[in-house]
Amino acid sequence: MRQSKMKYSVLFLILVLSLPILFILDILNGSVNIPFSEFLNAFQGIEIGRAHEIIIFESRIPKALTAIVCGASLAISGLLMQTLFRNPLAGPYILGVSSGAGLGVAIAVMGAGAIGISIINSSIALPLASMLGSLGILLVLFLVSLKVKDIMTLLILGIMIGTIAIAFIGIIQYFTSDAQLKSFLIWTLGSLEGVSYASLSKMGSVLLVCAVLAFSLIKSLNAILLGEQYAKSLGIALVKSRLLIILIAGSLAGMVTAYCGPIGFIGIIIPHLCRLLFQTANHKILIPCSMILGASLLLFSDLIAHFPSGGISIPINSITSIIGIPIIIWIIFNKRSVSSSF
Amino acid sequence: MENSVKIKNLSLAYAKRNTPVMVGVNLSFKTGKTYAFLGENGVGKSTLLKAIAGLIPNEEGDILLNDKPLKEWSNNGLSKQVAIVLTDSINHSMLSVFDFVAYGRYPFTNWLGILRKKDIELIEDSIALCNASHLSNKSLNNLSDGERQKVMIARAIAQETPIIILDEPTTHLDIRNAKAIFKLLKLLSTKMNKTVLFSTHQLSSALEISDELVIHSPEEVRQISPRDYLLNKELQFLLTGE
Repeated sequence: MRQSKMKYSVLFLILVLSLPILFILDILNGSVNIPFSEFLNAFQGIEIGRAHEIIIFESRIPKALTAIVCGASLAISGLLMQTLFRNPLAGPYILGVSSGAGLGVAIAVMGAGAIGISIINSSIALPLASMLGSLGILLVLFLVSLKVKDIMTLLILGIMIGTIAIAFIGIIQYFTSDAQLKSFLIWTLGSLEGVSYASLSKMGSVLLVCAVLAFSLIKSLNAILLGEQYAKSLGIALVKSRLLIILIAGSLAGMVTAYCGPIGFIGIIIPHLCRLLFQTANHKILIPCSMILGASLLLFSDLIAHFPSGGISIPINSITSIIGIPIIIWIIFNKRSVSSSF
Repeated sequence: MENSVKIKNLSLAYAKRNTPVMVGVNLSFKTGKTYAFLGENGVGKSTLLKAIAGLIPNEEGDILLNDKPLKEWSNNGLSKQVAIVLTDSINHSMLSVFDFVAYGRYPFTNWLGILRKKDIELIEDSIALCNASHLSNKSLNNLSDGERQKVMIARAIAQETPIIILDEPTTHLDIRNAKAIFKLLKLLSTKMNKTVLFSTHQLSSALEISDELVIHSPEEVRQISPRDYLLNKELQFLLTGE
């Protein structure tokens, strides 16, 4: 037992160390490659030339920090959803929660547009609409899941609810002005780029609050894995815990979608990778590990996205899908063994 | 001896169906005694046991725990009084037997669930009492039905409650394992002074180990000693059809 504890500590250390390495690599690599020595100089206040300085501080660092915050947020959101639904295929993207965020934004942008206000650049209205949209979808899904226990049924329902959200977005688009539509479409493309330090600090604060709340729920989350009745008999305030879980998971998914558009599959695969790596169901370990691994994987995806030379960058969502979908297929084929961890 | 559980004029209904399962039930359970709940499938044994554990709300009447109505107990307070073993089998692949039994300490640990030395000793003792020490590091999904049931009971013991409720603890078990479980239940009441309430279809074992029987029929719920049951032909016919 002590030996395996040692093994997991080493694994955790590797995970923690991989984060700054990927962070620095992500800053150095891109359409313009920055030598490591210049990067170090930039931090020591040594003159490195205006162009590289702008690239490092105005573009690469905010983008890498965005990747960290988004990756960690999506991973916690996915982990909490999987525990809440006791379903290995739950995740913000696949259950249509991200689409719900889109619907919230569409209603807000185009609704405000209809009365002559533009909110597409608003740093409060947009994230708020997005969070409310995803919270709404998550709440509906949760109420449905109280009646429907089957893993696949819930998944199909999630896809349907997501599709309905997209359909509503389509209808709203039909009735809006070109200018409003254009601003909405630009938002839906989404990427890790272009998030300002001001927005980053807001995202970071939401993540911090949600992570602290998630940590405070460790016992409830662990107990929920045993089922509703065992959780109750262990003294867990189930209704309060479930509402808090929905609030955290929905807010984080909504926040990421608000600033970066829908980013798929991080939320669903990261918790599985952590369970596999650490062979545990204890949220005391799963929450911090998912945060770190989520941040690392999104940094890694961003690195790959900028890998092609010639200034081309692949949309981040394509990379996360290519990494994520094989893992989801594996989950479906191993349904029995994966389900038994819920 | 004090009454640990008193049920007064209780009415229960299935959730979401308005048909009452039982009406006007009066029972009382004493500390350190064993009670077997007997009756046909679907007659409401599980519902009553879950109601006593505070998992199902009652329509009318009162369930008193140490003379305090169940409704007035806090979640945490109640979890220190009643532990339950349900019929749903938990075969979580990422949980070891030790981790699972450790759940029993939840009502007593801090928000992070950190186990103190005393908690660890209690968990190990509970596992040992159920003859499952050799399984401690095994994952739950690698256990046989008999082993899993022992571990389920070990978790309830680790919860250190004066009352333990078990819903059909010997279903799916072979004769040897079922006997071992019944022996363990008796030990809990005689040696550890716990009130043990369990439902079963195994009449002979129930007669052998329980201090009193709680016999469910669609019309009423009756509490009777094994001796009086054996003298009551009418009740025997009601339960066994013979």
